[in-house]
Amino acid sequence: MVKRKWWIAAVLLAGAAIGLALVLVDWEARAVKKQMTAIEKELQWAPGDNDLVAAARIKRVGAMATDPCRIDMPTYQIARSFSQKDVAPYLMMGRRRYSRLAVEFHDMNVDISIPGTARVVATAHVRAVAPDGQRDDEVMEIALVLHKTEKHWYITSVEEQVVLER
Amino acid sequence: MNQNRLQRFFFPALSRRYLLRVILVAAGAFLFFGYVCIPFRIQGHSMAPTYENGAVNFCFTLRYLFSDPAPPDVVAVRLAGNNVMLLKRVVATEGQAVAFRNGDLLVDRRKVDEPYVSEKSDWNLEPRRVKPGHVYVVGDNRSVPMENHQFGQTPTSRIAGVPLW
Repeated sequence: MVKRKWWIAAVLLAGAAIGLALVLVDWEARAVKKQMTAIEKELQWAPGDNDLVAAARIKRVGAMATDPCRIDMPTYQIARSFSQKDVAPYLMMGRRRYSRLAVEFHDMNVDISIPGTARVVATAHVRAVAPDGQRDDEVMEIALVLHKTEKHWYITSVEEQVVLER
Repeated sequence: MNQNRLQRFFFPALSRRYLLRVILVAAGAFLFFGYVCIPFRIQGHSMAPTYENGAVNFCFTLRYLFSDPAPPDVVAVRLAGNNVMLLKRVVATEGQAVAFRNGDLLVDRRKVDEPYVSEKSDWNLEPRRVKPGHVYVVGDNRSVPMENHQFGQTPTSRIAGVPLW
């Protein structure tokens, strides 16, 4: 009898915890953050990487963007709209410019005030090394707009924010 | 007796009082190191030789509670949050005109003595006025080309604090 009482209490407690998690956790924001983490994971290469593997990774990054996708990043002299087909060749050009690349996102703030549209503000830490060994690390604040289509989030625009204005 | 006290200090009994003390210390440390004295590691050479790459420091966030940043304070400029910040020196405040001529910093057309800058640069920048509520920040390392150095005016709301030393 006593054992059963404890079991009921445990089930009620677990149910309450699950209910609380469902109410309090912003699952959409979590999905957006997950997408950002996926970009982090895919947008990297190293000198020893297999060309096919790197190309597949770059293609997957391209598939994470909408068609077209607007990118404004003065640090890298980019200010144009890319069609989904353009993203991969452009990144391949980047791969020739930098032999090693790694991107990390910090302090991600996700705002989903309009359903289906997310605005993410984050600090991007880009670690790049040129083929001659020259480091070209950059830290910048970026604002991304993502749209949800069929349960997936796609990047619509990336804009570098002005932190220090000359 | 002494040994007993020492033993009790290092291996205390897991009493309710002890657990409460642990919780209070953990909460205090979380608040202090998360919001008041944020530890950080310097990455890059933008503030060399004053702050070298790899050095560890703390960002004291209460420094400008009752005052405003002023030259030649070194400040941490917040980006999207407090996890990655830029360490820069304030060289001018709102309303002042900033320019560089042959590497010399000019504030309101007057040359500023900068003992913290070790290498003379060849930077040239036309005068520009600092907007209200902004400060103009530059790194101490002027040996790099101007194009590769992050500097400029930023809202004071972006200043997270100052390094402790």
